Amino acid sequence: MKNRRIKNVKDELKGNKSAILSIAFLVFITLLSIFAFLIPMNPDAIDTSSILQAPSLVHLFGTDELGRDYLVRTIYGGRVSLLVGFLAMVISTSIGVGVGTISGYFGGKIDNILMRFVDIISSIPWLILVTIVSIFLKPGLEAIIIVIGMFSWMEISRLVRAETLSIKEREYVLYANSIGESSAITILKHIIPSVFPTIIIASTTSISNAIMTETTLSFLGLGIQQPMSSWGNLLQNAQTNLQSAPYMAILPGLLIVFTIYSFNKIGNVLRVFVEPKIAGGGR
Amino acid sequence: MSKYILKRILQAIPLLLIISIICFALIKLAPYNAVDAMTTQSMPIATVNLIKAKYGFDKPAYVQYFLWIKGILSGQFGYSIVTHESISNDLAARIPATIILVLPSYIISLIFAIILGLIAGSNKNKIIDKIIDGFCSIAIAIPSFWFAMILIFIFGYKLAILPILGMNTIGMEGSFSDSMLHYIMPSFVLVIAFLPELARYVRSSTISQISEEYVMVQNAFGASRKDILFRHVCKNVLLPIITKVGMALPMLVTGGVITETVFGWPGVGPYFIHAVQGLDYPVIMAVLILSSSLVIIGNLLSDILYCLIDPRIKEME
Repeated sequence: MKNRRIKNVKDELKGNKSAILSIAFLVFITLLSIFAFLIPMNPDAIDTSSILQAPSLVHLFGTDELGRDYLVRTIYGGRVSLLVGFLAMVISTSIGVGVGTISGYFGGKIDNILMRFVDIISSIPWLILVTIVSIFLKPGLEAIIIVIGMFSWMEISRLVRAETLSIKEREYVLYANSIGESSAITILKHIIPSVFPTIIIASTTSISNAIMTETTLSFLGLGIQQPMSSWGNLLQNAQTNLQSAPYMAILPGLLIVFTIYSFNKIGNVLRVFVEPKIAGGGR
Repeated sequence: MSKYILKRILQAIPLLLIISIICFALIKLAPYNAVDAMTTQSMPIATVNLIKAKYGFDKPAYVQYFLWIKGILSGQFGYSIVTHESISNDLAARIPATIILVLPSYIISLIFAIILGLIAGSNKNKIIDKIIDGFCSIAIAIPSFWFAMILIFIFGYKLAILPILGMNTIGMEGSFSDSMLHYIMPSFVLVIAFLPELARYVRSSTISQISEEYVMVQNAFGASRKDILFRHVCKNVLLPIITKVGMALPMLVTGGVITETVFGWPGVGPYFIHAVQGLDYPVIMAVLILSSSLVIIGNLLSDILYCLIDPRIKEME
């Protein structure tokens, strides 16, 4: 069964050039972010003699209003944006899986309370919710990771709960119950591995949402603050200099689009793994 | 039917109450409150107490909560702690601007989404479907503020044919053509922001409808593809969309926060972002409670509509 599914994914990948490109792009951008420290330029180095220079050989993507090299800042910005996306995904997926499995497995009162709680949080529009929570925390990298992670798990918890409801009726779970396995062990050893494919897909969506949220918040001036750069606040900066230095808007924007597109694409390909029925073209 | 509707309404009420309690608690927890905003260090304590008494801050928290709820129910959201203006008046001036921007944009994108979704869904895996689907996946990945910036640069700065800020040119408030020019870019950004998800929804429900048995029967009877699509599939695809419209209700307040901020549109967006930046809690909470109530009411509406359209839902209950 398992091999068949992996084969499905491989077949899906073969005919799907944009998925291969997406993976290649993500590998490239991740490596670039990890090894950004190898670049012999400081992203925060202010050079007042070269302010708002157009792209040239020295500064491939020009400089910003403080004379900082824009390409290097964008690479370091990608580091922040990807880090926020990844860590926020880890937080939200963990909470979502925890709440979802507990709610689905125990059912009854616990399920009712947890799901009402999910209803309440999800009835606040996400942008409003995230901005409000972010003003209670000191703005910065940790705050934004916590805010996005803590308030984007509701969808995952609903998916996982629905899955858990059907899995807990399977024979192997019933058997584990009957031989007196504790609930914690059953959830960890039997339920979570079965929901795992769903979790993986949900987490790719979660990363792209988190990156989108981070860039939006930083763009509005509520996220990552200067001098640290992220794709969002680079664009905020670009907006103020739009007339004199339009090139500043291009690079971070394109990188955001490609990154989010790639994560979504990979999520779609992985869907074949979970739902073998839709293999072969249908999405 | 009416029993189900009543049940759904009864479920929504506690949700609204809890949201209001959360809002109130957040205002109370805020490190800086209305009294701090109105008093200064040099004021004698008696004056401070007088101000507290005037706005009811000397009463216990639960009494304040009831006063606050009473105010909201009668349309009084309290006062901004930065500008000391009445929030209800500010919102009353700004919500219409947001609705003028968001509602037509939403309707336009809904119409395009239905057309594109039906075309894509009925031509599954053909080239036209791939183009539409590809467009949707790219459009979903584009941050709307970035798209807005690109438009501003091209049409506002390079070609200089469209105004980039606000709703009217100063001094030309009454001119219709001037408002339309201001309207084009923000509304286009919103259309592109709303379109992809709706189009995908229409596409996937078209695909699932086409694989239904009644389509096979029609095929067997020799009905033309066009006939099947417009007379049978279309109807079944469009009905569930009505429920999407219910869920879009909160967008009338918060649907354009980012776009409005980029274009300086005088709607709820810049008002809210400004309040967040200035830590103006009463304003923030007013927007919070308003938008979340609309979410709950919108979900309620869409459930009720769905129940009216599709009697099978009731049987499932």
